[in-house]
Amino acid sequence: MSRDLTLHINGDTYEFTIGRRLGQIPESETLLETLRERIGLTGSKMSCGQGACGCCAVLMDGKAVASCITLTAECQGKEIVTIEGLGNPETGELDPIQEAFLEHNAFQCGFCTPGIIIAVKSLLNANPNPTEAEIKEALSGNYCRCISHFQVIEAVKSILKGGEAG
Amino acid sequence: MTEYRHIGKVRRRQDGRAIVTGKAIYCDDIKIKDVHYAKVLHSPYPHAQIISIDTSAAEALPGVKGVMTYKNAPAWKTGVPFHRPVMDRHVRYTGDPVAAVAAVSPEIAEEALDLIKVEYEQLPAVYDVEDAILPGAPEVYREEDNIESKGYRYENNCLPPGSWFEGDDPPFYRIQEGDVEKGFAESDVIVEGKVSYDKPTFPGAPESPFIAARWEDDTHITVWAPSQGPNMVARPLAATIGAHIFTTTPNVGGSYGNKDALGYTAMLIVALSKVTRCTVKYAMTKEEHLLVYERRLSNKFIGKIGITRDGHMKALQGDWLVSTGISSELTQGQVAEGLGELNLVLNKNPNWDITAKVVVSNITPVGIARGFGGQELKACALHLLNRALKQIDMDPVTFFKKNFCQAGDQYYWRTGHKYSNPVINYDKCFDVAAEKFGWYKKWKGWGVPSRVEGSKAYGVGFSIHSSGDPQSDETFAYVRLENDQVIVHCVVSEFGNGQRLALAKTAAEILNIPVENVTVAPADNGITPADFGAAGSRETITAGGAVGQAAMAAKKKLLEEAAVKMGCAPDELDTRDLVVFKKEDPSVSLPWMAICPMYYSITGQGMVEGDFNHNNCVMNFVEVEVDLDTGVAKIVDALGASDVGQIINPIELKMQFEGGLGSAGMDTAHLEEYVLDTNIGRFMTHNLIDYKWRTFNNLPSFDTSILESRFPTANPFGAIGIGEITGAGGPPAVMMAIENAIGGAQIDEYPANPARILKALGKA
Repeated sequence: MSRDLTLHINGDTYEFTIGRRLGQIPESETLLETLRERIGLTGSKMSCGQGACGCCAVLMDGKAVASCITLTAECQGKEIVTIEGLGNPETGELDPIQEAFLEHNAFQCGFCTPGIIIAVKSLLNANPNPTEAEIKEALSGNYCRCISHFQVIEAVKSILKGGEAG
Repeated sequence: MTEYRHIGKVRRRQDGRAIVTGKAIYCDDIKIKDVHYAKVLHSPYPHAQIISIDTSAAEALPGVKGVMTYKNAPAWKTGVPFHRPVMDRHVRYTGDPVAAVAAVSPEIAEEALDLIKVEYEQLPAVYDVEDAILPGAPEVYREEDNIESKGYRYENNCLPPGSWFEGDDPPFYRIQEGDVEKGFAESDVIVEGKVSYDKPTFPGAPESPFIAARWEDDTHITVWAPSQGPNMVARPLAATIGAHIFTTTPNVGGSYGNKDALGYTAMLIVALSKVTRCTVKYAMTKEEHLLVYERRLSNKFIGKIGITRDGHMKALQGDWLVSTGISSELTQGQVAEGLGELNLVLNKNPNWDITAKVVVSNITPVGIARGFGGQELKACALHLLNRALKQIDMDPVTFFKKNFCQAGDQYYWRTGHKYSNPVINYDKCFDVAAEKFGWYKKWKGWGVPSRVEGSKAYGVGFSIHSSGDPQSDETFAYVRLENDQVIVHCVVSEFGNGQRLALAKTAAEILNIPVENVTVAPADNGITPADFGAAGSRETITAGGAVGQAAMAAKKKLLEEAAVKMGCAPDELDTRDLVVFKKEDPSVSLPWMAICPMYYSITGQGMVEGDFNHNNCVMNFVEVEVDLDTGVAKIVDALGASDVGQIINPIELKMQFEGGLGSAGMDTAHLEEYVLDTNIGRFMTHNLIDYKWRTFNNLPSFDTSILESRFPTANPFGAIGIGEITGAGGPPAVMMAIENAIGGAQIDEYPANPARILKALGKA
């Protein structure tokens, strides 16, 4: 048995079928595998594989989810945005969060950075003017082994000050 | 002071935009043509002999390219001295590779592992370093393994001392100097005891180890490796197997020293690629990373320390028992540097008798990690010393300032010889940093909290670390000027510390151009000259120095060639922003494009010769809060201090200091540990749910105190690197702070987790 699956990723629509034959998406495939291996969006990273570290975070209908523990088969009709889809594809303009991370050098090795930026986006979607404690709490599911935390918090605070919610 | 155009200024990392947009390439993001996927079957037992192994069903599975076991693996060995085979019939820890499969998909490779039938005879296992050296303990290696170095043989689970660090000289594994008995007789206070920093910890990165290998022909291999030192991956293995290895290293997803050489993993996958005759990639899972990959060294120190009432070291004696798990990637090298690091901080001690043993046992092997021996030894030895300082009632900042190595003093380093720097002095750093942290206001005496608020008690701690490595080993570089572009060739990979930005700035500063006109060539040892790798904070001086020299040489040639075209002497000329001009009359000028037009290179070479006469230093000040009801300890305030000679990258430098918290640095004092189930011989904390890292909602306030004294190093701007050691002094500082917070109750075992703190308080 196979069934159709439509994925909306970074504004593009992808038609797949679910099944076990060559080229089909098996029921057990994770969203992270689909993004990285099938679509070539390698910005989302595999690290813990258990939803504990945040490196694989993507936005699903505006909210951060761990794509390493999300089954692709369950993403029918969802709007998925990865780190590659945050900026403006026409102009190349970055999302203000990405600009702020660049401005504050809010990364070291950069492996966890896409997931952290996605988590910040998710936070600001739900709460445009978070307190510092709320920022820290919202990012508590994102590990950063290099300890770039301090610069990340500065970067996030900088867009709040500059924004309308200031 | 000279004002620089780029050095010491904030500049964006050239890979920054790629990092924030997800376009940055890490090893596992690369599509490798016709690649097969490796999966490894690990021993389920801590110690066993394979009775039989049947791989026929796995080999018959469609999609499987081949299976490697001890039967068909090449007879290569790695480790110091060579002792760890690719695979063996004798499996030595839970996780030891028993078979490796290469298949067209990871799923098929995984399925093939299930089809391999193995019959084991279980053997008694030993885990604790003290148990392992008892007579009759289970032997991790045997006589026939023939482990030998410089006349020393493996015996009673002890590996031969020494590594290639000493060259042809005798192994450096002990310091015997002066007369300790005389020293103890002259001491006013003597303390004795055992301190354990022996719960293994995980220094690992978010990006798990990865190796891909392709045999181009019988003598040429391409390896993809997320390494701090592409030559450290390539050179030792190439020498072992008699082939040329080109290592390609894109962005590295964190390393902390731990992915420096990837020694065993690279050998395993190069072997699998050879046996299965296909291109193979192995991306470890995080569970494998935690369970089987090389971890941080763990150890115990059993010793005796004597000091005088006025705070002078008189004698140090002890046994340093180093647990290296089943093998040593470079543990004896860590012993040599650890001894040197203890000798640097207690440099005024005239009487030494300390001997290290590198002990194997049936746990996960030890690899390279930041701190590299000294962090682990000093976590124990300096903690024991605290007992003596308590008796003379002298605060640790005052004591270490008296006893730390000063300019002109001699110290041991990794060859077993003594070295000395005539100029670099950190006296001022003690004073400036202590003042900034408010040390003398917060310090209330040994075993006295700085304050108590309800059930929360606060205490402060201090420690210091120094390494002789910042100018170690050779680095070569060359710089090409082509049209309006400058290309830097120096095999420095980017693993987070901003070193590639530093090299771009160095070339841009010397050639007086925007950083944007500089490209740093990929960290691939096939296109760049030799360099030892980013270890021991060395690349600020060595790579910075080699690139600086290369840029100066290129500039000299540029001016010489311009002089011919302009009809003047080269020394009448200078260059700025891609234009060569006459110093006396800048309107007389020639653009670079006219000197090195299309399809034309001007190349300069540079080289820094290694020495050990430049020691760096980091001081860690911490304040902790201990919840006296729950036993939970938190670092609430920290200050990292150093004199770095000259700041190159201000933000990245600050972040290196902050990074001393994580990656098994300061946090090993109280937050991080593997929990070993000794019934089954397996780490129970082998995933990131159970082995937690510091989180965003658990951050102390963090400050730095950084001096710039312009040191005479081979760095063109007088800088000295400190990246490796920012957290290395952290554990004893945190432990000291915890003991002070809880009123001086003793804890002699790291980490100071809630159970140990409550026990010390008599509450558990």
